[in-house]
Amino acid sequence: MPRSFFMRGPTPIRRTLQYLESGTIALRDQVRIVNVYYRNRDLAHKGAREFVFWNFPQLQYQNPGVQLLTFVNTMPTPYIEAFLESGKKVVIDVFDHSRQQVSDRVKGTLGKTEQILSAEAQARRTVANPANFGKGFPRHCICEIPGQIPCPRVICFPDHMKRKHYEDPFSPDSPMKAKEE
Amino acid sequence: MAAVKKLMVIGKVVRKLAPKISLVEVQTNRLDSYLNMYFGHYDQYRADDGPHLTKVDDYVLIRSKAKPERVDLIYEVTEVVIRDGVLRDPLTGKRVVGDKNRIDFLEDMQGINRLLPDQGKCQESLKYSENDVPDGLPQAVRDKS
Repeated sequence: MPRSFFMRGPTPIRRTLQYLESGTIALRDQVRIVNVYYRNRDLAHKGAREFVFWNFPQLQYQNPGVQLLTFVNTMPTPYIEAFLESGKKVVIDVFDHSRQQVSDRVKGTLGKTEQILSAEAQARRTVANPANFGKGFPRHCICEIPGQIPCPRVICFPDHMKRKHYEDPFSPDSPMKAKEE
Repeated sequence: MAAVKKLMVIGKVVRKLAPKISLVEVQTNRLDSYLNMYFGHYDQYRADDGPHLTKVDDYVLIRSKAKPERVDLIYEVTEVVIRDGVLRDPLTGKRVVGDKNRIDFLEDMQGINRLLPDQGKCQESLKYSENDVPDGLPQAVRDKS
């Protein structure tokens, strides 16, 4: 694929997985909707404009369950409005803020703290037993582990290990007779 | 395992299906996995207005009902976020008027109109004709050709 196929639009670095995954703001579970009001032209709205341009894809990627909306040229001053699960509203005035200031305020007001994030990571680690295998785990089948029975797709099992095999105790090749002897 | 959350979104009233039933269009962002880019995706919901008198082009907050009485009305309008034509600044509560060119508080706009009644007429002086453009500019060549 030619490079021009993917390098479209202004600053296409925003459309890389590495950039999306490097977002730092994880919104709290109570936050359901975030609206950003700003204008296209005023200098005082520059921080809000740049926050939407650079950080909105990251914010949406880190919080897929939250609805993010922008309202352009509707209000004279820039602000961010968040709707919580309980019905309450949080309004953050970002007049004449830089992009970094807006990002820090959103993270400090609506984002999860380091303590919450570390506690959630710890809970995930305890639930995920590394010994598990199957769908959704790192190892799909026990045949991948050395020392265990090999995969029947690769090696044909003997008859007595197949499901619909019925032991015939009177057959001369039966392993049951071999054990008795 | 996290519990599935009930619907809570903001949408725009697109149509009125009945005096107290509105069709709300909700925009959510969906990631295109090939371009790694977010595009707007639009869904429509039938919502019960309840005590709110919503009109077309209002932005409303809809939530799923705790006990829906009708099968076709599962969602309800809990709040009108922005009424069409009646924008209010959330911090001061004052009305706001304007568009992309100029937007300001209604009181300030009315004060300007009162103090400068000829403000509208002065806009004519900003317009220029082809005679005003100095020679050498590409626009002059275009206008006079």
